[in-house]
Amino acid sequence: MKTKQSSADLVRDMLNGSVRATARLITLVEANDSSVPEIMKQVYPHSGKAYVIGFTGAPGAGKSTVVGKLARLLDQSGKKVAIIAIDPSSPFTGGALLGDRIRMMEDLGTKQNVFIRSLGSRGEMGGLSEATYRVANVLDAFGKDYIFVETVGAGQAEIEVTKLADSVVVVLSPGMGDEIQAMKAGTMEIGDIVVLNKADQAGADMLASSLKVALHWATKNGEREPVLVKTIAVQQKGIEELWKELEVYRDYSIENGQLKQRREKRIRIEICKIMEDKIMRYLDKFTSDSKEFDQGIKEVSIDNKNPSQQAEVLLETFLSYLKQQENLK
Amino acid sequence: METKMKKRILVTKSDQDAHEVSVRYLTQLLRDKGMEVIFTRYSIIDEVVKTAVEEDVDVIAMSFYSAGLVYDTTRLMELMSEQGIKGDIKVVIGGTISEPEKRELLKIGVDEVFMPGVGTLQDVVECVNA
Repeated sequence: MKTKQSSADLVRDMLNGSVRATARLITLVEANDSSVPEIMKQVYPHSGKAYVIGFTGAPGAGKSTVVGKLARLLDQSGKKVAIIAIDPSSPFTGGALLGDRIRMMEDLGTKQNVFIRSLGSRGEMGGLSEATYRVANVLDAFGKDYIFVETVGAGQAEIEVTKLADSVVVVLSPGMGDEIQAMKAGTMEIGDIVVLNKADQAGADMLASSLKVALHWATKNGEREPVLVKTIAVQQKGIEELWKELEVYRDYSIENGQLKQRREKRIRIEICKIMEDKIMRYLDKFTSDSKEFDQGIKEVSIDNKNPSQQAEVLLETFLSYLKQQENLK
Repeated sequence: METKMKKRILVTKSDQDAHEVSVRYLTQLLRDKGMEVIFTRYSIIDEVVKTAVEEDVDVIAMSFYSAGLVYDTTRLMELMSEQGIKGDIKVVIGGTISEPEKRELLKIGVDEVFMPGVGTLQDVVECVNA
């Protein structure tokens, strides 16, 4: 059994450099434990320094390998990297096989400054974006310079997560469908940089030229066209070029205000989430405690009242209940 | 407000050991029980402890079908003591293990040992889930 530690102790230990405490905090944050508001209050003043890069793309394109190699490159130059690798949870059992880490073991297995954490997507309704960026905030406060968020590019929730990063890398590879596949919605629209991995495989050059055209078409007037970088990640080829392009993009996004915009969006969803959680907590209490609510249900089922109208009436009652509860505090 | 604490398991084996069917099957069974399973192959045992700490797992499950059983497990327990996580994280070992080896493993602090011909993978799942 794990020893219990208060969240305040965990935050203190994390700020003193404890990997264990950081990992424990992530578990609480990911599960949206009731201690999360308190944790985030303490973590927030220490965050805001890390740069977040999102990676997405079809399964098998080589995301984990690219992420692993890039992390190794930065680790060698003394930077502290954290990787958040998200894999899908089963919608039936809630279980998940988190297998991204296995691709990174060779390069990062014993690198003490690289922190890798696998997360299950835990269903789209679970607030994946909020949870992921709270985890990123924790790692930021822990002192990481760069945070890589890796998701499978399938499903709205996962793409949403990537879109909220400071910059977005889409990883593609040959043999995964023709250029028409690449033109489908999503892929071409979210990447600030597009990586064509496995660039030594048959069809890579063909795909590269049609990708360039597709990227050009997908770029609106006045916007920056995403750069295409060719890599052979398993051989470390193209990884330095990718890093250079990421730096170029970062400078550009600071200059034209894009970085600020994306960070504001993250703050927005964080604040919305806190408000939503609070309202939901009161709503749960209201629906289970209030006699008016039970009465309201009876009036629909027995007296045949209209549920929509009843909901309007109960909402009014709930709002005054909410005010009353807040005033009591 | 629901909180979703999930059981997290690290299933791992030496990269040198090619026997992987049973651990893959175990991984599947654990997943189907609703657990989050991190699967890795390690080059040196030190990686296992680092992974277990970062992933904040509840259980480390290791499989051995070739050499290294006692050496790796002893080192694992040492490193866990160093990190202050011995006893915090359950350790379960399975594979081609003899009786004397089993006694040795239990002596150094392994929580459960699964040997050939004793029980099924379902028992392992139950042990992990307990």
